[in-house]
Amino acid sequence: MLGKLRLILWGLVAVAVAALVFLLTRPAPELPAPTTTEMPLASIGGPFTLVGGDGQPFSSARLAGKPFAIFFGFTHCPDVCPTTLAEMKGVLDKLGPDDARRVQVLFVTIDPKRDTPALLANYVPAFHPSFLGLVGSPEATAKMAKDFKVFYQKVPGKTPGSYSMDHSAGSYVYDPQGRLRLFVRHGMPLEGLVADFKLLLGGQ
Amino acid sequence: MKFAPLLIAVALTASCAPAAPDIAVGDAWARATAPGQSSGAVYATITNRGAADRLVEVASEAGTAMLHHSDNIDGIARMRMLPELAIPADGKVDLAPGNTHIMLTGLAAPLAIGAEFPLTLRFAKAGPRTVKVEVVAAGAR
Repeated sequence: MLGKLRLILWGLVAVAVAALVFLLTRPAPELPAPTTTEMPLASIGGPFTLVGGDGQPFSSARLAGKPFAIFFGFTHCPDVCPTTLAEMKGVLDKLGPDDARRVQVLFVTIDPKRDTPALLANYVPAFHPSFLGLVGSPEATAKMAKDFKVFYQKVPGKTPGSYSMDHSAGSYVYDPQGRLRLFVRHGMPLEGLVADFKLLLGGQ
Repeated sequence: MKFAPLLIAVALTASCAPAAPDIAVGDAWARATAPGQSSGAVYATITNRGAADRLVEVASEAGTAMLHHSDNIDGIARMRMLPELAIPADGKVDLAPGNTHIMLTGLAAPLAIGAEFPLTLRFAKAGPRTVKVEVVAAGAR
């Protein structure tokens, strides 16, 4: 009885040692995996032309060769949108000026009725001078939302002008080749995104 | 003599009555807003060293103030007004980005970096607390 037990215990020790040897001798991975969520489907997004803060058309073709982060919100949003913009600014600060210059952050409004190019020009660059605010007609906005699979909905306020918007609160990150690579959920720690941007900038 | 136990019971019960709330509000801040931006958010830390209380009203001359909570459910950001906020006994409540905050709408003027403005939080038991809200650069915090 005792002999059998001893055999089983030694068997377990052997398994444990084997596992340890396996773990310690595995070759280190060459590339760290992205820490934000990898997007296996490349079917989100698409070419677009919207209006920038200067009132001029902005075509997505200008993003070629640059990794970029794009997210959707509205300027009358007191908390989530400024917080996301501030977080993106924090990420760019951590990347350092050289890398930050090579990344484009885009804020697209889902409230074109109130968010004029002039308002976006005042609001978006206040977080970081390189950030771009973009607006389109209601139809162009709807097409953007459809292409980027973004939800947005008006929530009535006390007065006709004081409505809020419920909206998707994540950011999409594209690589320099314009392929969707990451989805960043609002509120996730920034260190992961900084590391992931470095990966994309390094051509991974 | 007959009433002694009753008197003792009453005395004991009275001594167990909760202390009053002891509420302080600090680190009140807001991000600067752009001209044309009609809403802002104020954040602060509420510390309570006493019995539980409720935040029932917020007011400021800077705009119409309301308590709001940011929800992020299934990736969708929604903001909902809160009629009041529970402040636990011997606890702390952080009004912070992404969470509960004081929304200011109909801003009388843009909130400018470096400016300060008063904001009053009224608690059901503790009464009003007025704080100085410090305005910081939009990307600062």
